[in-house]
Amino acid sequence: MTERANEQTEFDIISSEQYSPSPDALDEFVSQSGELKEAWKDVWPKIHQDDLYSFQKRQVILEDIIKDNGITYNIHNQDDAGSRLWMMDQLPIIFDSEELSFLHKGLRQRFILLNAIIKDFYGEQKLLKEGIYPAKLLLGSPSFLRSSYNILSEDQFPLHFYATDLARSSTGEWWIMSDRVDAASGLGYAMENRYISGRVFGNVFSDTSILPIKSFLESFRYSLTRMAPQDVESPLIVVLTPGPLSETYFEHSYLAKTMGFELVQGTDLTVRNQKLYIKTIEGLQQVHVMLRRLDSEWCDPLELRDDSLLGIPGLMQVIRSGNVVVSNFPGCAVAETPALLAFLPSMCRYLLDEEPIIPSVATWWCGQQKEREFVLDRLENLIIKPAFGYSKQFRPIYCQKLGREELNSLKQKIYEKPEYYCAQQPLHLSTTPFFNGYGIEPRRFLTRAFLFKSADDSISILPGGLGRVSAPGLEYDFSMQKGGVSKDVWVTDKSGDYNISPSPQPTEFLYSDRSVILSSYLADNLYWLGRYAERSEAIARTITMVLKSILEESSKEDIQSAIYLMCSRLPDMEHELMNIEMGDISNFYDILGEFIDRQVSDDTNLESLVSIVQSLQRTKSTVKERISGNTSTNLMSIDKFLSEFRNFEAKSDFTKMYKCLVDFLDVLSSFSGMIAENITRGPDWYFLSIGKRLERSFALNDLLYVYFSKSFNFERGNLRSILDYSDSSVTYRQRHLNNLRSNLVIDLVVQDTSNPRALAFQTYNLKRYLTFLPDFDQSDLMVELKDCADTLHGTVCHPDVINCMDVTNGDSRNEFNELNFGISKLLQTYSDLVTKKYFIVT
Amino acid sequence: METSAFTTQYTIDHLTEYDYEFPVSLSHHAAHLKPLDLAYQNCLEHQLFISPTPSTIHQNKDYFGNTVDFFSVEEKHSQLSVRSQSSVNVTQREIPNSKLSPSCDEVIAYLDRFDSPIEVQQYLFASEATTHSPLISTFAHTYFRPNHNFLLACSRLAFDIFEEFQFDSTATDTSTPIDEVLSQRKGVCQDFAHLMIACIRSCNLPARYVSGYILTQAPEGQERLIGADATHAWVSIYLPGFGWVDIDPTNAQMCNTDYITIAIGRDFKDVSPIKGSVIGGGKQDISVKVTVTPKTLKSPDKIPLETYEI
Repeated sequence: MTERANEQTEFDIISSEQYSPSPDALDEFVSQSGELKEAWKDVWPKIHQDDLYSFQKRQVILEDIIKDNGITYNIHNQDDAGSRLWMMDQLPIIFDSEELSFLHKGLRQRFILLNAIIKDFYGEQKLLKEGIYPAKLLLGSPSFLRSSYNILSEDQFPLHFYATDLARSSTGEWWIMSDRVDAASGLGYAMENRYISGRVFGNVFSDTSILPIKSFLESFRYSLTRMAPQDVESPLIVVLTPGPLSETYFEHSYLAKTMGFELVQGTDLTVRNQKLYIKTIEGLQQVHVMLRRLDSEWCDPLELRDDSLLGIPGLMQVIRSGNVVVSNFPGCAVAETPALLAFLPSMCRYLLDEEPIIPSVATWWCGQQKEREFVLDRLENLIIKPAFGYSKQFRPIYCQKLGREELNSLKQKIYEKPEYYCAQQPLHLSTTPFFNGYGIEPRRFLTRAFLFKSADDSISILPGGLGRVSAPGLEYDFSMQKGGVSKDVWVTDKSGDYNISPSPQPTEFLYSDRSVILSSYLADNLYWLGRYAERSEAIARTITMVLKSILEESSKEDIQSAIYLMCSRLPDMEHELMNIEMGDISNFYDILGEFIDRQVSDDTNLESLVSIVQSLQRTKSTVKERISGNTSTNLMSIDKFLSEFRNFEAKSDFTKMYKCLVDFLDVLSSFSGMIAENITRGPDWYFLSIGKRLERSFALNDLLYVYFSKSFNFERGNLRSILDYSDSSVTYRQRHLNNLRSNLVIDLVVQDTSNPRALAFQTYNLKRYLTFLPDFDQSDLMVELKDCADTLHGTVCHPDVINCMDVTNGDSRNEFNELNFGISKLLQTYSDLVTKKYFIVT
Repeated sequence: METSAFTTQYTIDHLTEYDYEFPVSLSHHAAHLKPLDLAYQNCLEHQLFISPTPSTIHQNKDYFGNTVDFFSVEEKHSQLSVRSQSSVNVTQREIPNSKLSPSCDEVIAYLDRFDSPIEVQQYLFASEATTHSPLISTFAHTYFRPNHNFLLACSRLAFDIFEEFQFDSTATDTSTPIDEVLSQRKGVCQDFAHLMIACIRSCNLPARYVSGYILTQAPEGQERLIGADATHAWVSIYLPGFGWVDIDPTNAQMCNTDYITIAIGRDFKDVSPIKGSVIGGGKQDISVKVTVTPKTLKSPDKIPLETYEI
């Protein structure tokens, strides 16, 4: 058998029946006669040396990687808004390096052109004066930010990073569908897609000449460091994100982490004396460069949109005075104006004296009379878009799908306000194979290319991209919400001539001497991560104890004591809990089940397990780049408990719930273990630990209140519960055998600084940790904080503590209450002072 | 038309005071307070007195040519006072003969031409404060039919607003949409200016927003103008072949030497006298006092809109 024939049979296994590209569309994979295209010839035999099963297996592995790495995107404006897992097809889009060279040349021209256009719009406005670009289209655009006018100096590039969606038409030409000029997304996802491809197709990458993409991010990073003012040796660079709810937050944090920049939101930054600062635990530190992932108009509530809570008041003044460089320059969004495409060729001729190398999709602006008439004449064949930019109310209209009446009413609207509309010619896009779970099928695709201006002023292109295919029947909607799926993009370089990185190999900066900073925002979130982790443990622990006592058919007394534990968590139900009738067992179970549900699955209760785990998830997503890989993956597994807890009905199945809570506690304790073993003892660790220690102190103090102040008869059951809850039973037995005495119990769980569950252990460490925290401004706050910690630990360790917890002495009740309340107040003060000193820097 | 230009000199004292419920730890402000220099207006002197003393203050020109003062206060404060004092010469300007005004469709055709002035184009579009709505369009179209004289149509609209709308400072605030102003027929100068601008622009015609002052004390024998105790706002329309013409719908008159222009823009948001972004503060009370004193007492004849006909 010849090699050729062999290839054909392999090919048959998965696809010959299913893969049949439409005869009128160009296909990237096979020719009309069914032969493999050149780009796929090397790769395909390696990818599909197996049967359908291995395709399916690969897809499962791929989805597992996505899950394990928490690669997500967020959806808005929908009923089921929220975080979604990223979607990727294992089959890549492939083209060769010759094509990449062509695209590079064409997009480089486009990059330089867009840059020149933006510069002209915010400067001389020759394009308007010469009548090359309609003044209405610029001055009527909400994306034209007047605050950005006249800021740019002669040699400044407003555009630093640029992405564009490319497609191939049935004739084989590449077209630019739309430009992402403001704060382009997708690069992080493209990098992750390649990482996944590498894991799934490891051998393919070693055997074939697929260009690597990793160095792109390194040069990109280098170019950002070089944007800083000349005299700054190691610039502080931030990635500005709208926050964890933004659609592509995953990518913002990915980019920040990979490049070693600070991920910040507007509130983490502040403007002083026309300079931009980040709030850190060591005070304000000046920011020199910003990679902006927040849309232009939201960046400065003082000068731009005043309803923006995401921006930094005064930022534009800082930019104006040259004290920070922003990539991209605020206002670049104006080059995303859909109707601008109609004028690109003439602007290209005027500004660069060149013809466009890669055409953009044919566009007409209805603000011009001739064009308007042309559009109205053939409306049913066109796509109508808002001339100035998309909004919730105005998405592209595919006129082919409109009825007669709708078409007429659209015509009327265009006629009344023609400036607001533009039209585009639909393109017949080429197709590429997509694995649908059972076989491969042709899907239309786009590929997003990424370019940036490197430090030596050349324009670099990613030798890859972010591919997207649309759902069947939706030719032009590539969004994941509508069934679109992403793809990796491979560029093959058979000749080995392609020079990936024309910019200098940036080794010198990789080990910059800038010490790692901890922003107040992250410190705050680490602190709360500690608190929420501990709080969810406390709740789970309490309920497990109650369930255990029931499942083990313990004595009535012990069950009652366990139930008391819950009082500290459900103070508003204390009365009901204490008077719970245990006579009628089935009735008792029903009532108890309700209490447990209120503690676990009730999300209207802000202190329920479900609510706390949600908060835990939220804080976790903001700090996950700060904690090591394993620790962070461990936290991922907490997610799966959330849905289990939500669907719980305790009374129906105590055993199942018990098991689930025990599993949950296991995950939390392995998290604690990782914190102890895997995190360097730096500020990150101290804030996390302060959170944990404070929360544990609160919980224990509340618990003591329930047992001692409410003073149920000081029974043995209660003492056992306290020991069980604080994991101290074994130690107690070793020391005192079964001789349960209240003073001995109190000594072990309150005052024993060698017991990690004891109150004194917490307060001792709360005191100790302070010596490791920075005291940047030598303010009185640190003195107050240290005083507070001293008093706290002193109070807990005072010899009178044991006496006043002696319930046999009725008079000590008030004394105990006072002590208990005092500790709780000191804990709160400690928390307030830490917050004030480190998290709220004003 | 009178040929010898008549000039009045004014001194203006404009005091804005903020009272915050809680202390403010950091504030950034942008102020449009310095009167513009125009063909008929000359700002001789301008000074800002800010307390507490700002840590930084920088002056810029905005896109429209207005002066903006950016200042920041970095010390803790519960009150902020901004006093703007200026001295301005205002010369009598030429009021166009309404007969010479083009019709509405002629204005539209002129602005579609490639050699029409660029800066006018930005005053054709709806803005946040001058939104288009079916209600506005219906109301506007009775005034601005294609063959109507544009200037007369504007003056009729301004006059009708004056006649049919009630000046009521309790009826609206800065966030009241103009649809509501139109339906309840109540508002203040800012609302009337926004409404008139929205009407003009919804018919694809050019109009801009002017923020300024009017004479606080009327000359003897004349009535005190409405809106004199604070900053005032009116409308400027673009007349091809002539230029910008200012009309005050609140007082139903063509603007002249009684009017001192601070800044011009698409709507209030472009020229807001003091914009601020503060950390802390809670609720705030604002009080504004404006005193405009003419050095010359004699004033030119007023041109009320009811008499401004062909």
